[in-house]
Amino acid sequence: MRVLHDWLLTPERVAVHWPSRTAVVADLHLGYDEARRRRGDAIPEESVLAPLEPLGKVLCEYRIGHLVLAGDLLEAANCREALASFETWCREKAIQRIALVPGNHDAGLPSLASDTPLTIHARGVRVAEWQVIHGEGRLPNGPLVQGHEHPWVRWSPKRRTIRPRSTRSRIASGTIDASCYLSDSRRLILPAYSQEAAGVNVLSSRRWHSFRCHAIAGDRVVDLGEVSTLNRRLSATNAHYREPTAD
Amino acid sequence: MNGYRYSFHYGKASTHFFFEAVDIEMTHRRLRFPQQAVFSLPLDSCGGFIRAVRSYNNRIMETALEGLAFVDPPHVSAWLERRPAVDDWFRRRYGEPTAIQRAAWSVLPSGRHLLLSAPTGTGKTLAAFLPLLTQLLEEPTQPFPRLRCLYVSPLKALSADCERTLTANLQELGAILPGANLLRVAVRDGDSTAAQRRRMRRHPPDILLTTPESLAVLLSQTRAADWFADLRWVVVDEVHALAANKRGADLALSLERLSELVRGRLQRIGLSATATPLTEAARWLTDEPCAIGQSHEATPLEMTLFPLDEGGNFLAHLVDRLMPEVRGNRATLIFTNSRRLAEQLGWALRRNLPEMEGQIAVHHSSLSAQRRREVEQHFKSGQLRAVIGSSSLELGIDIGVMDLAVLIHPPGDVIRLLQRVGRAGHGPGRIRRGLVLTATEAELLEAAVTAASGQSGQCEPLRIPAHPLDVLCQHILGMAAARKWSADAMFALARRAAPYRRLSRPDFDDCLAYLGCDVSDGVRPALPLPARLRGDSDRFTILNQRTARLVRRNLGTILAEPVYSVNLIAREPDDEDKVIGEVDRAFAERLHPGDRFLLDGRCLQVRSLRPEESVARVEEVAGRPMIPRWGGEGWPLSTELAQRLYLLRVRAAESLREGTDALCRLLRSEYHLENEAVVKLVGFFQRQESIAEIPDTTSSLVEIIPSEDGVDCYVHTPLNRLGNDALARVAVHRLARDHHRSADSLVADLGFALSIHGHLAEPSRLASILRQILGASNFETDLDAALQGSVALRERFQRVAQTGMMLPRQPLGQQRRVGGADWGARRLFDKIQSHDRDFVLLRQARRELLNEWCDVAAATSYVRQWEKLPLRCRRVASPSPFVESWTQRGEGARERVETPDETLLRLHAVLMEEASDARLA
Repeated sequence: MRVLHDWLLTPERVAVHWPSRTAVVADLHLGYDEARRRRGDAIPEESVLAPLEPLGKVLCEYRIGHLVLAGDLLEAANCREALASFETWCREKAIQRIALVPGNHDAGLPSLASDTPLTIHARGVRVAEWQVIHGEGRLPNGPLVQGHEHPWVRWSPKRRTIRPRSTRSRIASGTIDASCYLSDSRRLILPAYSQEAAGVNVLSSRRWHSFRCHAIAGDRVVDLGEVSTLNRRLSATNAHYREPTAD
Repeated sequence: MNGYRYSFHYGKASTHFFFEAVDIEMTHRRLRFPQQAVFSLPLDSCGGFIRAVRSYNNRIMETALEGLAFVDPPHVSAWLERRPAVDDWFRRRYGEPTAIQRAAWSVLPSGRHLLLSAPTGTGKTLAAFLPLLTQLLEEPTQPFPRLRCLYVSPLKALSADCERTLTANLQELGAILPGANLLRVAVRDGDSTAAQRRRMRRHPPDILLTTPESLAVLLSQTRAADWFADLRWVVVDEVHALAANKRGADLALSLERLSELVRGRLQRIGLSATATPLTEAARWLTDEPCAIGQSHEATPLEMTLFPLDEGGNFLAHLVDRLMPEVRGNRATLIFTNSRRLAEQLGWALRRNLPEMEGQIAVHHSSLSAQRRREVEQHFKSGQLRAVIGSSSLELGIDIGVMDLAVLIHPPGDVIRLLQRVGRAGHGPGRIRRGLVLTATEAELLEAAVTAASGQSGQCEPLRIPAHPLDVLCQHILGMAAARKWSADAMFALARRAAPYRRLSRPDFDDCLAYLGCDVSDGVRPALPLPARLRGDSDRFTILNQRTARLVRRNLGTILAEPVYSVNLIAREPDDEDKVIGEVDRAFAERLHPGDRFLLDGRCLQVRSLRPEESVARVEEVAGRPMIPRWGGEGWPLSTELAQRLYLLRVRAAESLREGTDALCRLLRSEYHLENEAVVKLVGFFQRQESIAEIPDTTSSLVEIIPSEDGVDCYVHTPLNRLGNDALARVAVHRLARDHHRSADSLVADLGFALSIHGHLAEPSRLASILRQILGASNFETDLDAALQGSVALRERFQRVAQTGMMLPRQPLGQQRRVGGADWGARRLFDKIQSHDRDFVLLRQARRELLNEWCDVAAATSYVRQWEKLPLRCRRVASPSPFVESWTQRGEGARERVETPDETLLRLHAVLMEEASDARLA
């Protein structure tokens, strides 16, 4: 779906700036399992490339020329294996430029191989009038695209309590559990690309009230409107829902 | 069957007999096994009953042949008489030896293993220790300090108590015995500093007091073999509390490892409060011949049940009833079933008894250890008149003499009742006075059954968890960290520990394979996991020293819930903040500076929160506080009590048919209830009969109430919450799978509710649907399917993975939480499941769910009955009194036909429609 005129939000958790054919993706946290294993967890080894497949698909489908990585490319700067695999992946993609804006997890990143299109931009990258940053600490003025927050929308209807004594609230069906984009007129917040990252529920803090929520449902991104009223609207809508009666 | 005597409680119903064998005695050996078993049988299979009793007897016979023997205490202790100096000292200091002491002293010098069971305050500690201390004192001085006696208890506080007792006695004994040695006693637990540990490694004490976790750490040191070589005695305190859980499995393995290390023979001594069967507790202690000493000096038990007024403010009724008790007694101990209520009540009592300022305190596991020690000591010294505690005061911590123990709400099982009431009248011969306050009629009924069972000593049998594999993994690593092993030797050692006696070789080999040892048979392709071990099954050891360090810092089975520490800001800027206690993280994260909450009976105001350190800094203020909630509280009724309660209801219904007088007689004569309680209960039964009916054993009763969107079904069962959980899970699963219906459930003791969404095309089919969804065929398969991928299994897997060293709680290096605290449940579970559905820790998680979290055995036997009995569906306007008063109810399984993505798309479509309607309007 398209928001803010020029941005296409894909269900692969990658935002595309349509006029410049630039893709922006945040919080890849590559090498998450490698970092955990180093700390002593006995977890299975996984390929670095498999999680990059959806990103590759977006790059191909929209014929992306530029890719901006909005921070936290790696889970930890010492995930060398993950970085090496990622550099190989970069070489294989026919992309003119890949810009990395380092995030808090990338602190102490080793120098990058010179034969890749990957370059580091510590202060952010400009995409048309938008500034792409990671998003921790104080934010600059101006229209921003950022990551870091891992927005998620988690909602379950008020459950009709079948406790004998209170039967007032309504019966309810279904729950929502989806990662989402957030936008207002001057800011676009991307979901974490990594599936390993835990999300932060946008409904549980007032901080996100003025944003619009664009949730990812399977292969679609749907606009759920303003966060401040989302809880109320979802509850009101769901209250009228009845499961079909056929056996 | 000769030589046995049985006595039965029974309940008759037209087609079924309920038998409860309460007392089985082997006369020819003068052994007494206070024991129970509940049988519920159709009349036509009385032959089966006889068989059941016979097989039960065979089991008892077997244990008798295995070398367990009950000890009759001699009238005089020959051992003590042979030591006139000690005898003289003992009588001066403690008076006449108690029976348990005489029994212990007749066994211990012979070197046999011994289990002592007696209530707290009967001198158990000294019974176990006196012969050992005397022997150690009389021996010639050792050239080098060596560890010779080990004491293990589940609580640090008990070690501290024991240290005080031992030090005092050693001093006095040293003074009277000529040329006595100087013995060193030391405590080692999680609080010991690194310097203390180092010193202890170099100069072991003669007697070491420790916890199961610290013992496991000591055993995994490379020098353990030398350190423990001269150990001769190990004393395990509170066996009944340890044997029933994973900590006990951990300790049982440690005991076997100790026996392997010592040069001579290790004598094991277990101390236990009431536990049935004691033979089982003795078997837990050792698999070698073992003597059992049991105290028969049961002090009189005086139990009063008092129903509080229903309606109105429960807390106010409670305070009104408790004030005279607190005023009238010198020391009152009040037990609640939750920390929240303990705090609330402490607060209310203090406000209502201003003259007792500083004499009422709260004691629960979320208070800091230091504060709890203070409360215990002040109570013992008489500075406190009343203490309100949750289960933290049940174990044998020495808190002095109490006049009265008050229980608010029935405690859920008989053992807990006896332990709580046992804290009153602490000391030989004193009457134990207990008062149980109940909030509802159902609670009153439950309390009556619990009290009657307590009076006749019918306790819940000890259930030892069957070979937890996550704990086994810890020990495999711990053993491998100390030296090289072969799989055969390690397997043989593990099988000697009671919980692992039925450990299968494939389970053991799977653990080894998971930890990276080359297991030769190669049946299963191992998951590609980082190895912790190196070598093959003939000879393996820990991978490297880094892994050994990781293992040592993560030993133990206690998984702490995420909490915030509550620190009281120091008055002086240079002083350090004082830790008062802790609150759940979920509660703390909703706090803001300026919010007030209750802890330690004080109103605390939040000054600042430090989420990165999980600390809330607070100051004490006056005002109305919020009351924190802690997770993981409330426990189900025991399986036995649920059965007995159901049975009492059946009998009450039959008496009621003869007239109210008959019911009154039953309640008075068998349950010793007072008039007021009897009147209440008769009214309760009558209302149930008039609104619905009292469920009996000849049919299965379901109350049906149409809801706004579907139908609610309330099913009565004789099971506790765990059994009902299994039933509800399968029912909800089958509704979604076979009938394409979403459903919620609520599980409780003695019943569960299903809320089925959507109207049925043919309401008349409801009965047949109910029959099908609770049918016995494939019940276990469906339960397994229902649990597969459920939140419960995911969470359990994460806990097992933590204990099983897959996700150590304290990893090396810095912590990062991008994956969140639930990463194991959310992500790792799926990854492991997709690789290997039968992965060893996943298998363990599934077993735990089936056996501890759901009571699959009880549920399975119930569904078999369900199929045979006629189903009575009663359409009622509102739930019956029995349903209204279900205890321990909580959310059960729920299943949605819609996936979260479908829900999102459906809701989005409607939201869009509404938005465009609004625009058009």
